[in-house]
Amino acid sequence: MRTVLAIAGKNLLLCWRDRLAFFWWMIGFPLLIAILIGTMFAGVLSGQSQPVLVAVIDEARNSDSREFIAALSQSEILQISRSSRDDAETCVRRGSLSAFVLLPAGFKLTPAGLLDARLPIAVGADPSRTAELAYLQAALREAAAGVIRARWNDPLRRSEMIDAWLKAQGRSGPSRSLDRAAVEALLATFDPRLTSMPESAGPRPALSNVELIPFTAWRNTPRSPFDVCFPLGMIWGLLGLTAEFAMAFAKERETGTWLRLRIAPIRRWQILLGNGLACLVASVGVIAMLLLVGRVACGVRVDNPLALLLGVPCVALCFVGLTMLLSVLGRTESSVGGAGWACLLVMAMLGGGMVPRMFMPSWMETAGNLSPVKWAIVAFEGGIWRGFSLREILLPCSLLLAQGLVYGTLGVIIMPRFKE
Amino acid sequence: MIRVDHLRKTFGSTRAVDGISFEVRRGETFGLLGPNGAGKTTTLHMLVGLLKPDAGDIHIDGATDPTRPRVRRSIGLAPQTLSLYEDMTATENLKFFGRLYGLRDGRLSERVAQAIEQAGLADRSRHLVKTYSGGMKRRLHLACALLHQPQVLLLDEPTLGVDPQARLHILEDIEQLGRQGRTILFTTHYIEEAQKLCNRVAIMDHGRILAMDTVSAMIDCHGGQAVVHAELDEAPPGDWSLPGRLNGTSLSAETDHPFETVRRWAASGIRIRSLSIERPSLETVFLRLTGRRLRD
Repeated sequence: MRTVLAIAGKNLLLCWRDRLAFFWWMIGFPLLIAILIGTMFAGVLSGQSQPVLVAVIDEARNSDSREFIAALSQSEILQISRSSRDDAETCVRRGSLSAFVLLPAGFKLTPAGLLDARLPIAVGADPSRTAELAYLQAALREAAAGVIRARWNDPLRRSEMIDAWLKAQGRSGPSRSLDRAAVEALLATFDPRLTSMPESAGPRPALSNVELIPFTAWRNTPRSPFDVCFPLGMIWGLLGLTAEFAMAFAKERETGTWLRLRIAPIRRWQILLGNGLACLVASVGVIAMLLLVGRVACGVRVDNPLALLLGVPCVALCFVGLTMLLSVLGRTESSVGGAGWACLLVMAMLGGGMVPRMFMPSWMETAGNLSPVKWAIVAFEGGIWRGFSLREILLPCSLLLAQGLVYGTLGVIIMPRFKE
Repeated sequence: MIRVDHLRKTFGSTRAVDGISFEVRRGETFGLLGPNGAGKTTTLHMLVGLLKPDAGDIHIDGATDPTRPRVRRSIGLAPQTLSLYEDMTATENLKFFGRLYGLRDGRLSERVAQAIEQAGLADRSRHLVKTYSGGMKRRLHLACALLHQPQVLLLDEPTLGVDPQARLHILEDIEQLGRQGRTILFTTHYIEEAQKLCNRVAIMDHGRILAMDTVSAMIDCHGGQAVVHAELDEAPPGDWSLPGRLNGTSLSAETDHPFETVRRWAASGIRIRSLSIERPSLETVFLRLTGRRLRD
């Protein structure tokens, strides 16, 4: 074990000697990512290429709610599923759904409701995916307007609607024809959607907002955007560290010190373990340092320290395995650097570390499940603000460990191909 | 101490080592000479277990498996390529390699101090290796191989790329180690180093040992005759009947007895302006055996 510690100590010392690269790639650059790109992920970006996954909770269970859900299901930008509120909250918290839509008891759609400031709908959304929320709001307004428009175009139901509206205004009994005409004209003036205008008739005015269920009402919620974007920064710290260590291991082979290690009275596994231990310690150190900066400078809080304590070593071990594999992707330091960063960037892209996963085509999002970046983000977020239970954190942890094992094993198998 | 029997190693279609056998006795300094690509480094790498031989046996101090930690502890290898961590100091390098060989605490510090003193790096021991000259790096490189006081020293081109002063320092170190009774096997293509240091040498080329003996026996056997060359004041009159070829005022002769030849020339009455005697050297032997063709 002393030998392993000596090798690990040597690697960390060499890492420390290259402080500028260390601090830039593992602290400075990740912080930049956390603050800039992470903030963008939390709500600035727009556009989409695949449906927003939404659960609908129908607590009203009336004809209006059924009509509304049917209209919502027609939306091209949403993929709707029915769910209970508890399940929907859990799915949103875990990140498997973007949001849920709650139609409360007594839900009713009227033209008057459309003209009010708010629709009688509540939405609970993942705060790290607020860009998707904008699409959801638009889809909700469109669905509500669609229901009302369909009713208005039906003469029988139009009459019922006007009666209901006049009733809501305090008038009772059969309406006078003058009143009805005035109301019809007024409603048509307020919103051309309620007439039988063709779709191409031009832009329609915006409808009222939906109620957002405040995330603070949930069991787990980020206190600031930094809770959401710091996990991303930590990922970039690990990516930088992985590339640096992979290149350092390649440099060791290139400069001949590897040969001296190989002729020392130690076993190959001791060398590998020493290298891996150094990488593990540095990974945990980088995560801890970024968390500390996040806590002190940006108020990042850890919601479930136990889950994070379990998640961090699993993420670090996965990246240790990845380092071992990347270090044998080339014979020289520069070739490992090039190939290593290429792989890491692809993994970051697929895993949601560069581009929000909502912008990906579905095949790419599916492929992202193979990226350790995705599961590392899930593990970090699970501990920091998603409030994962220990049971919930087991899935990303086990996937990370399995990936780390596969990468590490491949690296160890390929390594002997490099002749001393 | 070291015995190699019918060792063979092939890389693809290239036979790097082709069935060589030799023995290095305890306390002996043995030189493995050969041009570039002769198979010297491959042989050393097989001796320390970095490469697995295709055929043949290796015995080091009675053990047949050089990868065993006990055997490796008895070997010190200074590879041809400098194997140092340039971003660490000399002390840090030595301490690290010492720990790999099981040195700890006071013993480690003591050995490191000795090694730094021996390498003449006392005033630069806390500077990063990347700031050292080529000679300093080579001395530290050798010190790393000696730190654990191995009985067997394998030195692969130990003076490669250093200035004459550093070279002299390294050669003196090796000489001293030989006097201390270490078994030393070193490879070089600097013939004068082998001639100066080695009890015995083997000349290797194309993976084979071409000759192996003491330096003097090797010269006697393969060096040929001494060449005596004289420049005369004037060409001697009449026919030349003494040993040697006369070409104007230049006279030369190949002979086993150069002084006797000179005495006979002087006795004949010719007036010699300058005289040189070239005795065969190990370099002569080397070039005779390996040829004068350039090697990569």
